[in-house]
Amino acid sequence: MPRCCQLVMGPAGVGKSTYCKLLQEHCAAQQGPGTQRRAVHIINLDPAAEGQFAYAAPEVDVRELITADDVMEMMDLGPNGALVHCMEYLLENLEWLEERLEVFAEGDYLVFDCPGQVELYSHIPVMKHLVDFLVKGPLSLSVCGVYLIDAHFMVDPSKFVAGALLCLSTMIALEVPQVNIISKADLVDKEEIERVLDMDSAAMVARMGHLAAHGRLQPLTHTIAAVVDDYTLVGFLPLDPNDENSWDAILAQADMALQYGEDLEPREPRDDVGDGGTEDEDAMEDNDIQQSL
Amino acid sequence: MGMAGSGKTTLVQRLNLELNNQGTKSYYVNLDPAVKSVPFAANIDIRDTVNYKEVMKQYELGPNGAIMTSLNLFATRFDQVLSILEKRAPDLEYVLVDTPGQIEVFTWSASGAIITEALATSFPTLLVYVVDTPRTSSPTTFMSNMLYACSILYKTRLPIVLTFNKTDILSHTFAVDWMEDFEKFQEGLDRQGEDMGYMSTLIRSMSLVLDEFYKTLRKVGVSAASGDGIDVFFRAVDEAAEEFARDYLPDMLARKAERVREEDGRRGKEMARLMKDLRMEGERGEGGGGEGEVREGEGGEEGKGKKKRKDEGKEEK
Repeated sequence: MPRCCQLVMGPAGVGKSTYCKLLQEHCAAQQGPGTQRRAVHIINLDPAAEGQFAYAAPEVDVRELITADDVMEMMDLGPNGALVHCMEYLLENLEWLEERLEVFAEGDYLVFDCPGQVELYSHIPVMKHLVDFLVKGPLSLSVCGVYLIDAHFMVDPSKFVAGALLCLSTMIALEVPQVNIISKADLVDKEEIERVLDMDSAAMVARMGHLAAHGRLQPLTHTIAAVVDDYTLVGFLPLDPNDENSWDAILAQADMALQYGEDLEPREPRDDVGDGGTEDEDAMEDNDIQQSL
Repeated sequence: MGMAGSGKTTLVQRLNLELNNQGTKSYYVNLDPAVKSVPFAANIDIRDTVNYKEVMKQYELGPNGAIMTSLNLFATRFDQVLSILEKRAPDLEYVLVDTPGQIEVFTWSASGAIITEALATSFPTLLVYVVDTPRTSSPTTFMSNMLYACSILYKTRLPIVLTFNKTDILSHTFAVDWMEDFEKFQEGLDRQGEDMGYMSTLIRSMSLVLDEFYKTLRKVGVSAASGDGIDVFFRAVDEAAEEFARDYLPDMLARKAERVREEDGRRGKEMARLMKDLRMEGERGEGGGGEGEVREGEGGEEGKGKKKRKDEGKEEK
């Protein structure tokens, strides 16, 4: 099966690097057979990453190719301009990435620590181009997005909607299956989170105050609520690093998106880059019906 | 507010210029600690109180961390800003607030939320969401950008004036078409030629959401560079300010009343945590360049005004 990868994304400070580290540790600690026991390899894709990572040195680090600091100095750009420049530079030098990723074996599980800045997703679509390369290019990776949202935003229906829209914005930008995760769930009251997650649209809307529920924003709120109801794609999984079940659920959903560890019908040989995304899409369609998470 | 590179600061500069030319009293607050020098100085500038380069050094942070920390430092002093603004308010029409380059430093941070709420509680506030028109011309990028704006709407609960900037390079009529005519947007998607697969149903649902979203906001096209469209812009802003008073403010007051105990407690804790973090870090350094009192300057021109507008928000008395 092709190499599988998770793209770990989310606003700055949400805990992407920590997630990568914990995922690696969790998988390393698994005993016995089964797809839980996988070799997790971390790749840093953030040229502006600062200081030490939460995890041990990444196996591939874009900062070996280019760093935001260097660009800022050499080209007298601000932090944003430098970051964009770095990513565009990476896109011009994809062979570098290809060489580094080729060494991984089939069945290896790659985790990409991605830059947080939303500008790279919905403003200048560099991340989209990168994803296209990973999926449709010579590497033919099986890619699933993992979007992290801070648990503090999940305890209030309005903020929940805001967070859900962020996730959706990224999903639409990258066009790969995506798992949405509530990060730092151990820091927030479990019941609060469950209450928000269990709410159906009517209950959610009722808690959002007059403006959203009855006033100017009412039609919009209702439309959003309907999408949230209909689409388990926007389901959120809480990540409590201390809870094994939490990890199991996350990996299970990511696996469904990636078809990791399943031997399905022999796949059509990929003879055309245009087919790159299709299999993931089919998988997602099937899984969509089964998913109740 | 808007994505980095969309032209927020240029727009604020243009607005400042136009208002001054008209003789309308305005006030300019800069919240971007890393902005390069600009022709018009701000009346209140975060850079006067917080030295971004110093922060980087003293706290041993990279550029992103330094921006965040600079904003945090400034947020702890924001009550001073509010006092100054409240003093000046009777004479002011508009207060323009420029936010940090990276959009999420403001939208998804505690300090951004503190500042936004503080302003909205005292003055009619609205968000000017600046869009880089030439860069948004692909339907999926457009959609993603609009969803982000919608997310901000629910996060901040403030009226939005969608401002398509750089119309001197590319007219924003394609965007208006997409927003007003769903069929045209679909055509755009088809022309993009991607096989959307399972995404197509999601995109269709999100398009319905966006349809509703567009009805809640005003949209204008401007060129900060040439000055095109600025009068239409101000009309939209004035309308949004009325909307704030009519629709958004009562909601905000109601929520505030409900939450006042919770809010104060939580904010107090956040502030305390912020202060504690700062004190801890301050012990390492000499004070990190964030010790200054909030200073008020004359600005590039005489700044006085009543309404407050952020390229984040705008307010009016």
